[in-house]
Amino acid sequence: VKAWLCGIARHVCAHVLETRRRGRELLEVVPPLADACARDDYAERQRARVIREAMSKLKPSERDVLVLRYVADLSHREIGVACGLDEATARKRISRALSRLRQILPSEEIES
Amino acid sequence: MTLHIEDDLADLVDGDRAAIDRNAEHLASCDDCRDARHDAEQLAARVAAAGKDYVPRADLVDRLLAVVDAEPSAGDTLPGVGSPSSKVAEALVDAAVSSPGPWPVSEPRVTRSDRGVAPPRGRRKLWIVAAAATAAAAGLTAYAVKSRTPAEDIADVKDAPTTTVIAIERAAADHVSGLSVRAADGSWQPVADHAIVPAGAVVRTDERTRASLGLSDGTHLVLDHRTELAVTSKTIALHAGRLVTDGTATVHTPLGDIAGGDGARFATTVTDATAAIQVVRGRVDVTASHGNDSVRAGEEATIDNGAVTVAAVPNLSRSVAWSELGKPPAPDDALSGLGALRAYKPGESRDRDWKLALASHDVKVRIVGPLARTEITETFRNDSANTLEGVYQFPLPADAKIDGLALDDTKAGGFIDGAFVDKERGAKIFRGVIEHATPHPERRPNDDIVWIAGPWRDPALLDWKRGGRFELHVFPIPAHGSRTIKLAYTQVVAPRGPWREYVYPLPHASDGSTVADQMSMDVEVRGAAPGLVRTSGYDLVADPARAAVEARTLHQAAFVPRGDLVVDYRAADTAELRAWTFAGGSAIRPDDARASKHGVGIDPAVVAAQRAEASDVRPTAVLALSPILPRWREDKPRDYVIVIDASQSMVGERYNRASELTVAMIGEMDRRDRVTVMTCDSECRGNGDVRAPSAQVAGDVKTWLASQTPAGASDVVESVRAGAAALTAADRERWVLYLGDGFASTGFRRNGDVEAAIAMTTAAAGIHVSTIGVGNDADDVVLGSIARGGGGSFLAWRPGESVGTTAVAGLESTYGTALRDATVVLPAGLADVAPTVIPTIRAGDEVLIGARVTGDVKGDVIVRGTVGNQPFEQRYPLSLAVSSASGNAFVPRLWASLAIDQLERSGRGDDRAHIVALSQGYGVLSRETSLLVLESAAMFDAYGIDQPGPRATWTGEDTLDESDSNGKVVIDGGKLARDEKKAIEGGVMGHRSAVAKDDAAMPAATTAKSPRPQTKPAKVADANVMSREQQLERAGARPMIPMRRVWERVPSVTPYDVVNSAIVKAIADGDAALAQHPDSREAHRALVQALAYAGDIDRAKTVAARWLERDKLDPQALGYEADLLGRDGKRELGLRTLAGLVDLDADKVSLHERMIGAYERVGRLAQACGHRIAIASLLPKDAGAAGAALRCLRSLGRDRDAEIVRRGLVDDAARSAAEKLATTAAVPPRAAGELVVDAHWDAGADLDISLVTPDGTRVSWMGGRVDVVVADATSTAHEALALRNLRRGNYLVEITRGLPSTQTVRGSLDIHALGLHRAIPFELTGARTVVGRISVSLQSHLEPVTSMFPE
Repeated sequence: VKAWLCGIARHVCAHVLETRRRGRELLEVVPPLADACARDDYAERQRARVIREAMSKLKPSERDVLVLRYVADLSHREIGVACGLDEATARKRISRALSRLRQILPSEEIES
Repeated sequence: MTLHIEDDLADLVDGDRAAIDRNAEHLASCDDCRDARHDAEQLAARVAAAGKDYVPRADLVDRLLAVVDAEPSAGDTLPGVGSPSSKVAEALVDAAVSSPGPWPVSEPRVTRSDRGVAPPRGRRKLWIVAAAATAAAAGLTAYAVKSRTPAEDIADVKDAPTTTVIAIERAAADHVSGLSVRAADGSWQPVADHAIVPAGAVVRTDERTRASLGLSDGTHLVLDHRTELAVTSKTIALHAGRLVTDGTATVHTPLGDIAGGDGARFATTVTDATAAIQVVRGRVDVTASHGNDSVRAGEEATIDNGAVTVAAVPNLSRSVAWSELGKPPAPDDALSGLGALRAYKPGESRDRDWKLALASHDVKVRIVGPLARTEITETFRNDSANTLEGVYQFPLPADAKIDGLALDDTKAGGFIDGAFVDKERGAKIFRGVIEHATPHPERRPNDDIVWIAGPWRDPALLDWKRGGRFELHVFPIPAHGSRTIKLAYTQVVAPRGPWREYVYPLPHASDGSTVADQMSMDVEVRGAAPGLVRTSGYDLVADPARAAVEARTLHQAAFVPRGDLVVDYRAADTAELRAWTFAGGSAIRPDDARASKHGVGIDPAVVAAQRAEASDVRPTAVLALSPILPRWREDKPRDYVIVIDASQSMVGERYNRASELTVAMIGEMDRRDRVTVMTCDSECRGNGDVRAPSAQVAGDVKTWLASQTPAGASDVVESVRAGAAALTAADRERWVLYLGDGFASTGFRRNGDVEAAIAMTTAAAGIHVSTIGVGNDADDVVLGSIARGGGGSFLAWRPGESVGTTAVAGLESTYGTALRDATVVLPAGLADVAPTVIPTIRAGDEVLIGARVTGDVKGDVIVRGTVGNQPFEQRYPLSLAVSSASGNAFVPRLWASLAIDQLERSGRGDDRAHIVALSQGYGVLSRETSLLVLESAAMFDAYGIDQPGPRATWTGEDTLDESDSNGKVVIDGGKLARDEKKAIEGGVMGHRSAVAKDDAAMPAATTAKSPRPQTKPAKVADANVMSREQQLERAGARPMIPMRRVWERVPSVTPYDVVNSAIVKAIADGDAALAQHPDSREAHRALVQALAYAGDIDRAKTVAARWLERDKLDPQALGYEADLLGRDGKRELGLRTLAGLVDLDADKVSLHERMIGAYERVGRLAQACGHRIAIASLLPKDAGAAGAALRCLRSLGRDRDAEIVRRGLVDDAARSAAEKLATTAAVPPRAAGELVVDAHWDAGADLDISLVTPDGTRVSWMGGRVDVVVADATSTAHEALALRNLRRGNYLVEITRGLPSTQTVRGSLDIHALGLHRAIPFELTGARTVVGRISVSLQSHLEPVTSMFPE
């Protein structure tokens, strides 16, 4: 059920977001740089930004499976249901997406 | 990075055991792949962490639930049908866009909508939304909170709690409970998880629901579908359905009562007319109106018309597997898809991402009675612009007898049949064809190929790999073209009680690489009872056009395998003994002209043996025996030793899995039995004496197993022997249960040797051995041999089977319902019987016996043995007439395959030619042969290979001509007629003698060498000569004196002072590199090397441990770790770690030799001998290796093991030479060479000399260089270390303690290096001290050349 809901929600959300995005600028919260904690936090966020940018260069189908797998923590089978794939293809697509992401990101960025 | 690694990245990141096992070997040798795996892990973590800053809105769940409340019908929508509620979607989107860190993606906001709750992988956050959404879909949770059901009112009666609902498992997505309780008004009300059911309440499951209940006294119940019962404190009234009871409870049924004993676990099934009770653990007492009986584990009681009957029940574990709720077996990617399809460009050794696909996969299955023939037709499509070689690995049933391979004829149409050839020769020919088809600029000189001039194309080669894995090579698959192959095999379909179960392996796909564009299946079953044919796994439909047979078909596009195809059928008639015959003369005679060809790898011994087979025109017969076994009467308690393979190959998941299984088995054991556990590599460690199983013992064992470190090489025979030695109570039934992957890396390794070695240990002692394979690629053959030798059973841990089911099955294999020590006496007129030793026959098993028919066969087949240690004899009247019916054409091949199995088990090196001859003559694949398809008759002719001729073909579409018989128990407690037993052995001995005579008359076998053109080497030689001539010319033209530069090694020996500044810098660089790339293999290696050289052992060990954590199977890391442990005074663990290298590459002779040296230097001759045995089996033609093994075995008093080694040699000449060498005492090498380090010290301490090489490795008594010699390694006053050759570089000389001590030791080192001598005193206060430094530099000078050519 979870995967099915994700699959349906994925499509609906995509449509709704596409409509909303045109009229709204998304803001990023930048913390003050005064203390070490904040700097770490900011650095963390920058690292996240790098990953997001790299992911933006992936095909949408590749991005989908990575997000569903590693953010939503869906199983391969659930991803298959959500994306309309069989389990094996989902697994393979995640593998290929990781490989592509590795090609996009410089090695020092991966390790950072 | 190779394609298959890339495709497995997701699984590798997840730490999937199957993927790691599958790729371990490749990862160990491919730096790029390891880096890719590491990077992927990092990236996955980064992707997950990238949303950590998200904080969900506080009212998220409430808002979602509010939406849900407003629109509860969303859940009615089926997956993929219709649309969800727009409000739900809006709510989800709102939740998603509240994130401060948006994804740069256009669609799936919902997936991160719940991030930020804390966990790095974001699951909990998604779970909130998913759970809420799920609840919305079901309309369940919200209402459950708000509105109370009558059942929940009942559940709130807390003052009389007797039964708790532990779990409900429902095979439907309708969100209905499925478990109901009868209310006071007689209505059924649903019950939820964790509800408390009051005493006396009646509960029931519906047709889709199973449930587990916990009683307050600790009894655990599992209800199957459609089960109804009432629970009181100690009694369960089972009205209908099926129930598994675990605990001391009594089950009342309408037909009788079942009282469970202490710790009993049993299944009770009640229908209107009968009740069946199957006991998994302990004992239960069954009482009915007309009788009662006691039923033990492994038995089934039936109550019918008030009478109780008890019998053995096969496959008990499967019968109760359903009762493990909440543990759906994870898809175990033991085998990928239909197989693993890889594509290679000819001449390249690594696969790439070529576009090769399985275009079609057609399966035709014909079943007649107990036999099945399967024909597979597969088309490979190449979408790339390159001509490719396809390599297809696929699974087949373990008992499949492959009898045909054909490749499409691209020129003439139709198919070309393959021929059976010696495996080694087939591989050489195949390589030769591909080499010729694609010329290389540089030909690899080491390839041993058979080379024939001519046009070359279109070969296909099929090989057995390991266990049930086969590998097919097809070449060429043209660019944008396709090739089709046909493969056929026959098998005897396994009986499952009164049914038979045919299985076509189609395991879960893991990578999708072999999804078939088109799949078709066509199954026909003959000889089945009408209407009693069932298929499962796939939706096959009956074919009404074929009314005469039970026909089922399936056609599907874009076929993705999701499990095996299973066909169950019940035979129209059953019998304990069935027999089939077929006329003689079925073997193909080798073609004289082709057999006489030279230089194409033909073995004259094979030709002669095949001629002998072809000239034997005696008919063949096969008997299938499945005796009905009586219930055994003796009920001895059992002692178990569970031996876990704890060698290097088990590191990680395999060892964990074996540990889990061990603990589960202890949990399932009868409480009257006793158990202990050992972990073994080439030596064993035990956790104490046998103890009665209990939860505490299971806990202790779990803790103890977790404290053990898998390492070292695996000696399966010595492991089983160690287990057997721990079983000393003769008044108990004694069992060794071996759990491992079956990779025998040291000691006896061939299956015949393993079987014989174990049989000689266990048979006389009355100890039985069963084995359980752990790991997807466990070596079933070796594990089967162990079980066969030990009179037990082998159990493969099938993918998808739970630990609990496997634990029950493992124990079940030791219960008394088996015929052991079986012998079969055949009537006169049958000879050349195979097998000669009958395996243990468990209730319901079937054993096949092959024989030649030498005359009229009329008489009794007598089966004898013991069942539960009680004598057993059964007689089956048999009358055979020789048949020539086409329905029996399978008999000669089946006979030949049984004969081949028998020869392989005998372990005689001499039999190899005979095995190949039987395979070629009868057309059945063996482990010594391959199936090779060549393009044309001309090619077959050129290679001297017989084209497949008109053999007797069996299609599986004709009726069998069968004799059958049922037996009667003849005696109880009688003695065996030993003369009749001898009659069988005599028959087989005669058969062997005849072969030996044939062998003696033949010329000696020769090894084919490639007649490769010599043009290349010749050109190189010419070039060298011309160069010298040119030099001469030049020398003549110019009046100069020719000089040559001469290099000399210059040694220096100094006391050690401080760490060299270059090493300090190397450490700093290494630290920096590792900080930058924390998981880089190369950074680890460089830092370990520098730290090891600098003598910072603790840090080096820490870094090496991190390296191994990253890749447990990296041989270089393992080598460093062994060195560091040795330098740190941890001799034992260092030695085991070093031996682990052998477990990773057991066929490498040099590794075995290193271990021999190390073990012999410290006087551990048994371990050294194990490696000598392994070398002897690796080099069956090497009399020297066998001689050394014989010598060490005899010195240890293992004369019978020595006989096994002797028997494995290829011929009598080798045996004579080995015997001669075995009697010659080995001369210990003298400690002499370019470097000699001689250490003397105060007596009383065992010190070791270590030479630390420039690359940070250690040379010592543990080896490290092939030319190292160490004397007095265990002396307490002296040790010498010598190297024959001393190369350039800086070496450190270190003194370490062999045993822990704090005593100060003083002594001196005499170092002789390249003629330089220096004595350096030392004082050792700690664990080790670096004493000296040896530097070898190169200096050169010029010398006049007196002659241009050396004389």
